[in-house]
Amino acid sequence: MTKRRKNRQDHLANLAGQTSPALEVWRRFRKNPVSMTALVVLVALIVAAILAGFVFDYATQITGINAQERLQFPSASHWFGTDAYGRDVFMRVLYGARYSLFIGIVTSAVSMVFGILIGASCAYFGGIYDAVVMRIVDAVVCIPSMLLMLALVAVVGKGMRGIIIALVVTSIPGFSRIIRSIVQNVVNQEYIEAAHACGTGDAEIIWRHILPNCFAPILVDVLMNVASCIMAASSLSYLGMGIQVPAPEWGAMLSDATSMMRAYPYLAIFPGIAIVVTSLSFNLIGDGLTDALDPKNS
Amino acid sequence: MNESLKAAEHSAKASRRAAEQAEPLVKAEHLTRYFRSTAGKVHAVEDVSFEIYPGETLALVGESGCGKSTLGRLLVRLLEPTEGTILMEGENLTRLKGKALRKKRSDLQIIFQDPFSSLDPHFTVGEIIAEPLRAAGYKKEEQEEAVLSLMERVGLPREYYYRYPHQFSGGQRQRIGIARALALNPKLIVCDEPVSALDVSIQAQILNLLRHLQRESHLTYLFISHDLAVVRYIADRICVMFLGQLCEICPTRDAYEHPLHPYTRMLIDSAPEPDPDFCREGRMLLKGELPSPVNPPSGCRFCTRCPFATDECRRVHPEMKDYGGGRFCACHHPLT
Repeated sequence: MTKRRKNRQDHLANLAGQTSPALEVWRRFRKNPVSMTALVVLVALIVAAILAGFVFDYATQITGINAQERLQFPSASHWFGTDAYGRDVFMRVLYGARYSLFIGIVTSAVSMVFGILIGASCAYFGGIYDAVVMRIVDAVVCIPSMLLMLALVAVVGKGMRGIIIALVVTSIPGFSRIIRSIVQNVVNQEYIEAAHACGTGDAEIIWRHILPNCFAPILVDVLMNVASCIMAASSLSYLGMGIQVPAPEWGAMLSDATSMMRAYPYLAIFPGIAIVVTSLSFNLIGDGLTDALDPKNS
Repeated sequence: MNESLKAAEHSAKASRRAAEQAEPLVKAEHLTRYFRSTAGKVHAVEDVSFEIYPGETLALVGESGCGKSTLGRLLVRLLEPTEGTILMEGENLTRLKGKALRKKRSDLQIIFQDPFSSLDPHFTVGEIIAEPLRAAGYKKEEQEEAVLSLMERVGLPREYYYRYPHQFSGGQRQRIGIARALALNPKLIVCDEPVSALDVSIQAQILNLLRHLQRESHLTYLFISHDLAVVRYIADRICVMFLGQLCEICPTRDAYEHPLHPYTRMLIDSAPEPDPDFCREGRMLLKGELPSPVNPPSGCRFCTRCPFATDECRRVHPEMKDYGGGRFCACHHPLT
């Protein structure tokens, strides 16, 4: 950029008092107290999850047995109490964030990539290709997702790898459908026609018009999907098909606590709250982003 | 504007047109476009031929769904014709493809009806107006200069350069759309109902802007509209369209004063009249529903709604005939 042009741009920007679109979105997002709270909670969780790996010793503090301190109610020394093996529930819940966040984010990102490939190609090409792919998607969506996940885990095997594959496969059809309709909606807008009329090439239309206009709704959808993936992963672990005890996965912890829930309810309450808070924050951020991305809400 | 001035302008336009009559800017020949739908083949535009002369405003009027917008999009090559040719200054546009077509687009521009969906919400005003310049390979600095002067021409303050479309009203958005269409000095601008989405008070401003720009830069408009008051104000000549075909082409004044085709007469008579004492007697009003474009009537397409229809009308398709004075009509029993 030449200096002259830069000066001129600054001058014009000053005249208009405008900021970049991303900053505008952030400004609108910031005004929403609920989603801002959710964002703070989520950032704190992510930081805690990362730190937990360095601070706690997995073999002794997270999974080690300590018979003297078993089944203590929450206190100053054990904030969330201790479980049947004398392990500190607070540490385990914090450490468990690593599993849930990792699974939620990785599966959503991977299935988003597949969803974009399938959904966008259907929206572009249309015709028979679109019809065939969408009927397959419809058929997969018809299968209850928990059943499908259990079947997939049974084939692939329990553990992290099984959960991720099961969640990715079950998320792809929904993503493809939504992304297809998002892309279709944008492609049918008059400004795409206007861009053609201006003589703008296809690649540039996709890059400069279609992708930026699809990005926001897709991002919102991914955030919502992270929330449901976290829930699904915990459900699988609760059923004993996911991450296995003694790993401090929240679903697995809940499963462990079930038999002692009457006498020691805190064993179930804290991992339960962790699941709810995490998936709720993703949902609320998604909601806030939906509003913030809508230019009409300024 | 008083009557004598109006008449003077009218005759001036007429003589200007007469001088240019020999060389049409655009010549559409037997343009046809079918769409496939679940109901069958939609005859959106069928066998339409007409000419547009440089510097004139040719209005295209007709009811909703008669194929006006399809015809406009065919002319700027946003849609491929099923059959027929479009000649611009003798060059066949229908054969152009890929890069050659993209280059030719600088001569063909369109102003859209909906000022909300026709502007990309993620672009600033400056970027929107610069888009055709960018596509034509202008340098950044040149684009900026050109955009600022275009904004001035359409009456947008330069402070709006970095604003986004959502910050504007419909009328101002339409000005942005007009500036974008003007950017490359096109030979033909198709105005696809450019004012029908606007408030009446804003309509006048935009129409005056379009007229002013035409006078300033000798622009040629194909003005698509269903609003006959607007058409009377802006058009030099009128094409009346019914169910994918043209019924009548004539100078604007003739269409209002002595139309040839019964449909033209009925369209004009059924327009609302602001005078409450106006006598409705002697008016011919449109009756019945628009036939389906999937199964258009045989013979004359208007025969199911025409009070003068005879057996001939139902059997034989009427050809476009020249009635002199720039009047053309496709009817077996024209009004005289």
